[in-house]
Amino acid sequence: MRKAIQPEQLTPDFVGFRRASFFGAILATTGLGLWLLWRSFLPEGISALEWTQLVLFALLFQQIATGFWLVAFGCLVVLTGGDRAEIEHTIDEESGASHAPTAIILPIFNEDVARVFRGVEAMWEGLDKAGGNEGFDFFILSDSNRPENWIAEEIAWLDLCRKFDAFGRIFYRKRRVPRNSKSGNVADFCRRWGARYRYMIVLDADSIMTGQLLRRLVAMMEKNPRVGIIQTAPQLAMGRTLFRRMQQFAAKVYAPLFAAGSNYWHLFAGNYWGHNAIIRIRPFIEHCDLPELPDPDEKKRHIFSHDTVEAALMRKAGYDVWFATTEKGSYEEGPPNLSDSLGRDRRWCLGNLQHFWFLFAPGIDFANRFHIWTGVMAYLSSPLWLLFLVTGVVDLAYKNRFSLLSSLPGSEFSYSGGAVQVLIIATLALLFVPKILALLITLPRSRPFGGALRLTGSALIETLTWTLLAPAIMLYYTRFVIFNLLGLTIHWTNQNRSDDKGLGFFESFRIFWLPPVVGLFAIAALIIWSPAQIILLSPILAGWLLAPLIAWATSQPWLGDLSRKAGLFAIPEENPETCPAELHHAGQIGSVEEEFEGISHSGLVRAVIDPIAHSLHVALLREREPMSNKVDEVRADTTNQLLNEGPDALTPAQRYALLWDAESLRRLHHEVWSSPTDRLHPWWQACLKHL
Amino acid sequence: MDAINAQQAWDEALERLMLLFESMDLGGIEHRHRTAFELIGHAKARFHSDPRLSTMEVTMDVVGERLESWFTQALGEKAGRVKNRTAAGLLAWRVTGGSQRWGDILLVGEPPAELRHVFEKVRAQTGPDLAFSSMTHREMDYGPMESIAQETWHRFAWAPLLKAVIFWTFIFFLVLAIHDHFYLQ
Repeated sequence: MRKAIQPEQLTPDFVGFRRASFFGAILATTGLGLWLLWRSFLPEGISALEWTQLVLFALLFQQIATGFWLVAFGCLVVLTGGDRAEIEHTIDEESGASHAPTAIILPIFNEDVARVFRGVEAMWEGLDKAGGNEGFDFFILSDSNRPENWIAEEIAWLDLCRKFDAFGRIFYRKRRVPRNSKSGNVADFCRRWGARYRYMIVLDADSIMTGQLLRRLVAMMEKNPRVGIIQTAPQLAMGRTLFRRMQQFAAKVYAPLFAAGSNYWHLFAGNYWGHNAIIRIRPFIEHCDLPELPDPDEKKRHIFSHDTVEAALMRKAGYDVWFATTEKGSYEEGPPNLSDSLGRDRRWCLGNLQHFWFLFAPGIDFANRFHIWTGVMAYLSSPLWLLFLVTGVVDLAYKNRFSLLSSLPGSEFSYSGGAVQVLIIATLALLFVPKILALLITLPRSRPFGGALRLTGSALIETLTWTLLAPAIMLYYTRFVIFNLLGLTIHWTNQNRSDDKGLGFFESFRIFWLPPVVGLFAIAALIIWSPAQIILLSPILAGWLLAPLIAWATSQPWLGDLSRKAGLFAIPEENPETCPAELHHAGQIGSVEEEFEGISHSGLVRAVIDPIAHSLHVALLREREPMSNKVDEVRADTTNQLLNEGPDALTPAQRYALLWDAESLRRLHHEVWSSPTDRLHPWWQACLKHL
Repeated sequence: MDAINAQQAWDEALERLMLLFESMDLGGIEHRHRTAFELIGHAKARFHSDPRLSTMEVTMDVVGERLESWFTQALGEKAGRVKNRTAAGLLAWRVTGGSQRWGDILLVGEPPAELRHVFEKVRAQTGPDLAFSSMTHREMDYGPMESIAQETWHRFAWAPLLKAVIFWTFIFFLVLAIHDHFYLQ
């Protein structure tokens, strides 16, 4: 191993050379692409529509070139034995003995309770095995607004503390007013307890980190006091559906090169992804509270996607943000199907577009501006691609050109000097060479991936599937961008499914009706105005027509199981021998005890009837201050209504408010248990029978 | 209340009491039965002296009082500092796995000393002692974009925008057609 470069040894020349190389390569590639397109237009003179295409192309080709050069530089780093300038190299291989006070926080919102607590359990045990959990406290920070989740979380917390005798080390906090979603949840933690801890490790509900990594992250922070955030590279794992298995395979094979390439240029000016990262709390509290966004009505507009902004603010405050690209042991789960994936993208799209405001804000580091730009373009590029496609087709149809394929020898390409051919080949190369490079680098250690043949086969199938899905995703991203820019609400049925059940066949067509409809219209339009282009556009048209079918197939767990049996899309974490214990533990099937299955409003029932759940829930509630008589009267009326008419007589807001009032709950508990059966509402009678 | 109805009412109270014990996971079946019969006996005595409450209400009052006094006894001198002693006691019972360890003494025998220590530990905490920090929204200078936006969107309306977009799209394609017609021949 070559000698590592410590962060304080990074000279402006060193950083400048790397950034100039990276951005120079992107600029040169984009310039070359533009020149080729310009040349292809030249013979006939450049029309206004083609000028539009040139502008769009510059934006889009830059994005492809960025992806390509990230992998290319990542490849260079890997082939030369790794980057000497990585934060991981500042500590020894076996480091991790620090006992600095560290909070591991899990902000949750209506998540799978069993899975969340299995994760905490796995990490607690992992820390124990890695040398002890001294210094670490866990916080489950709940914003769940479904009563059944809330009560189940409390019981799961009690059982977990009981199992490890971890009272006072694992905490459960439910927020009364869930302002500003996840970032508000984290900020609330910082305000209450931040001063007690030096670091916080932020996790998502589906995150898993090994004990060894948790300890190493603290050691890295201790060694480098200038570092504000260290982001790890979470691997996707524990997938069962074909969709998730393909995603986790792709992430395992391709992501390391992207990560290495990213670290190559940004070094200490990395990004933060909102989870699986360690944060120095004091500067975070002092500098990273999110500002409000400008708003025409001067209302307070909250930043939806906080992470990138927090990284920018941390950098603005003078702290480093590093990306620990080679650290093992950081995991998360991906969405189980395309529908859920797009549901998540809908939220991310809004968040990323909001970051646009920071692009021109004074004091933001150049690297952070580029992270923001990349995030904005991740979604904005879709409508731009669609526009580029439409203008291209219209332009060709308008000029009555021959299609590219039908005019291969002779006509068009010849008078554009072959520029179009070169351009198409260059674009395809920029898109697919990164995948080929990643595959070639993985081939020598293909054993955990099922061997060279299966690894290559998996990569081919994954590439084909995503090539076909990309046009449909482009349509949905376009819709998200337009709706978000117009301030309209996008309705998206979030299935929130587990891996165990795929989309129904007809359900898939109901969700993904848009791409085939657009595809059919496009085919009809092409037949009328420009039939020669159908062959050229066939991959896109096929993607649109087949989208519901591919979405259905990839969501199926049985196809995922089948692919696993066939050894396709295998990753080392699927092998019990190489799977970290924490991941294995968290992946075990289990569910929370469901006492009132089949009864509506089971959360409310548990909080009222079940003596243990009731005792715990009431104990965790803050006793309310004496209120006005009017408030007491309203609460008494609500309680009576619930007793005499059952829960459906109350609105969801009333039921939720009741769960916050210990006094009302105590009264309900007493009344239900003390009332003779014939005086109880039939719903309460049924609940008692189910107990 | 006639004799048959009275018997039915006490049967129902006993049944409810057994259900409550089961849901509290209190002791073994034999112990539950024995304790339930004893408590029903007390409830009957109280009912005869004051029949204003129903049999069920009296039974649950008797159980509530017994739970409270037993857990208070378990807490010893610390009892005064604990609110909701029954709730705290039930949680401590669950955490210690009381049913398996002391299932035959609950509500009738001397509370085990260990339970007292567990009370302390099982305080249902939402976090360690508070240590407040100020984390407040800070003003952000968004630079020229904000200035442009602030100067623009107060006069913003959809209808003229839509008209303008349609008009200029038409002009754009017209110019395009004219340009290409004359210059790209």
